[in-house]
Amino acid sequence: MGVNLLGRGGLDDFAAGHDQHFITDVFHYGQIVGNKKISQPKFFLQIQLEHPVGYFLTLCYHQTFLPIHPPTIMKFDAFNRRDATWAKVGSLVGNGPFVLTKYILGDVVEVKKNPLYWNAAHVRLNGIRFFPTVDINAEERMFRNGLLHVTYTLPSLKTQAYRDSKSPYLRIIPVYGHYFYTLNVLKPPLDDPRIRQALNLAIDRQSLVDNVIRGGQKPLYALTPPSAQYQPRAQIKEDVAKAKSLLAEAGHPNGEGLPPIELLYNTSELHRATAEALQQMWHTNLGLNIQLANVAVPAWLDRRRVGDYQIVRAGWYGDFLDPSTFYELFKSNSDFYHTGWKNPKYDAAVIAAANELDPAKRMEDFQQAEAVLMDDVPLIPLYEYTTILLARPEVHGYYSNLLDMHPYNDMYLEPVETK
Amino acid sequence: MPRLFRHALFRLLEIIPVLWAVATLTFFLVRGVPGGPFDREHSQTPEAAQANMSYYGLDKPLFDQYIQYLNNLLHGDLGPSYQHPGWTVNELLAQKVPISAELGLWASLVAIVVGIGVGVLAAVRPRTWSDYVPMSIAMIGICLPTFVLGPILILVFGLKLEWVNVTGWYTASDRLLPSLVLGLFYALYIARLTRGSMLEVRTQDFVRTAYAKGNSSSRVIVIHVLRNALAPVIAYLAPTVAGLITGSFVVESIFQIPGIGRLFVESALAHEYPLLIALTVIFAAVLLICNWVADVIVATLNPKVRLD
Repeated sequence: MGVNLLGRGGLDDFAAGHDQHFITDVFHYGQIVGNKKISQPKFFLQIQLEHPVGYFLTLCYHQTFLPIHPPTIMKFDAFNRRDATWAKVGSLVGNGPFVLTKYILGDVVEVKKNPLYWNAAHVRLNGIRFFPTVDINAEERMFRNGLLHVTYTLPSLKTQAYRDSKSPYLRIIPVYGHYFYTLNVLKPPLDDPRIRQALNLAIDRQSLVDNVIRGGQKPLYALTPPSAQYQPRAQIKEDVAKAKSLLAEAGHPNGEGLPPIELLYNTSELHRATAEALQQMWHTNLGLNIQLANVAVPAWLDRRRVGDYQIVRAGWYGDFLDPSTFYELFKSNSDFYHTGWKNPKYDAAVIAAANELDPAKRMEDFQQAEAVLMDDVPLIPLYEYTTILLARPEVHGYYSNLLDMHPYNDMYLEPVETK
Repeated sequence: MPRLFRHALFRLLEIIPVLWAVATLTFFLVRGVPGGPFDREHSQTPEAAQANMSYYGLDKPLFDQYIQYLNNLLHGDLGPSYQHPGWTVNELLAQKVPISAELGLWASLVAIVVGIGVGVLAAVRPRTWSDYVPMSIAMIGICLPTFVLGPILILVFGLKLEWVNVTGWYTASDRLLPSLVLGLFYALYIARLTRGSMLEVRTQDFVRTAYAKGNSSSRVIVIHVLRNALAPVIAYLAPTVAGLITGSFVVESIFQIPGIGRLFVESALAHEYPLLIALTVIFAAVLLICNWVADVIVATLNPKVRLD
């Protein structure tokens, strides 16, 4: 089967342009020069990069790099149309290990093994059924009832019980993503960097993950979660006394004279618990009056976009294994977090990193960017995400990895002998 | 019964302007909610955003959109789904309405049979054990919301006894727990309503007359008392049945049932304008029709109503 990657033009109107930022980044690094037929029956895809991109292979895991077959899709006149009839059962043509056989919205998505897959001999699952569950408690009950092999997640309230009982089903996977709050630096009183610093320093992140989140997450003291290649040097040193003196320096000893500050989050059990914990910490440590506001996702995004907030809940999962996946988000021209924060020094460091050939120097550029960020505090990092799920012991080949990607072609079921 | 027929027809015709009003109100109200249907955490280019808006005609003046919508509605076209590209609202409803309707009918059956049964049982010998026990259970049941009762029943019958699956809508036994959970709350309310109404009717003169004529006790209770006591129950049943067959978000979520209750909440959160309006209109239509049926039944049971 011929394989074709999409050029930029097609992607612009494709998929509602949601991954636009990502594509721009990718093609900034290089462009596809063509798919040459080198020797029968194999095809090779050649991509010429403008400069070395050490993490290029992890970039290719991203869904925007999945190959598709344009003529098949064009049969449905579908590239720039949203009604993706080409994606329905019977019309969808892919080159993966499985074929879509059933799709009932809100009920089940079923795939069966693809006998034409190039490596079909090594695919050991006959098929997979995905159940879209709205109620995560129902999902956990389905697992206990033996209806599921693997769950997508686990309610945070139940994680502790599974950990306490040392359940063989529980899997906690560290992932390359983080949970944070962003601050609107254009709105008083958070336009004062000393007050932002004070908020950042007066938090007990360890206590937050141990007592509130309770899912094996690690507290995070920098914008970027550490990885094998990169550990940010600038680390937040939590210090309530220093936070108090910063607040006093800003003219508000013990929070005097400060109006209530609003913390906005999208409605969810965990976001509420986190917000309440932070509200309590800031009140006890700094005497601040924090008001919580929770709204549904569209309103949350809308208010964030127009800057109608003071503190807002945010989170990000890395698209690929490189710190730039986080640092790009806070550049002045970024359309992501709308903190109103701009710093040419930060931009310069991130752009320098993008153009740097030497991997070690690149990481130094990121260190500089991190230092600027930690001085100005347009955001408050809280913890590194984990994926928490239940899997039956007979499920093999479900490996944990930072990008939280679990290809099904390597998974198989094998009964485990009970002793 | 020409008079009853005229009464029924007139009430039926009233439904049409009400539905139009509901569709119109919903059409404008949903657009007033902050946020749009294509907002995501990832930003999109203005061109891509514009392409989406113009694909669905959302860039046209609101009034033009409204006229277009009404025109499509008259032709039975409820529009596309924004969240699920490639699916039309008609397709989604065709998949999900029968499921919610079936669940709702089973639940209504539970509500009516258990409700009236228990109510009659309690009213036959008031202030005895056969009254106190069922009524106390009913009181507890009414206080238990479905999101508490559901998981408790699942825990016992699904996870401990393993008689039924904890979720799904595939086999006959899958119907059992959801119908029970959904119907029971209303059953217990109906039981209290039936009991109260029957106790009131029992004391009336015509009941004493019926006994004096030598009717058997069961005949008096069923023909004379129950028939006259049912009016408030039927009035209550109309909106209840409408609510039950148009889906329950909680029960459908707890039991993983792909019905319209879940669709309703999801479409509201996702700003799925066409789906949201369609579901609101359907709910209104079912409610109005149920009320109409109740009207006709009450009129049949009680000739006095027809004269109003």
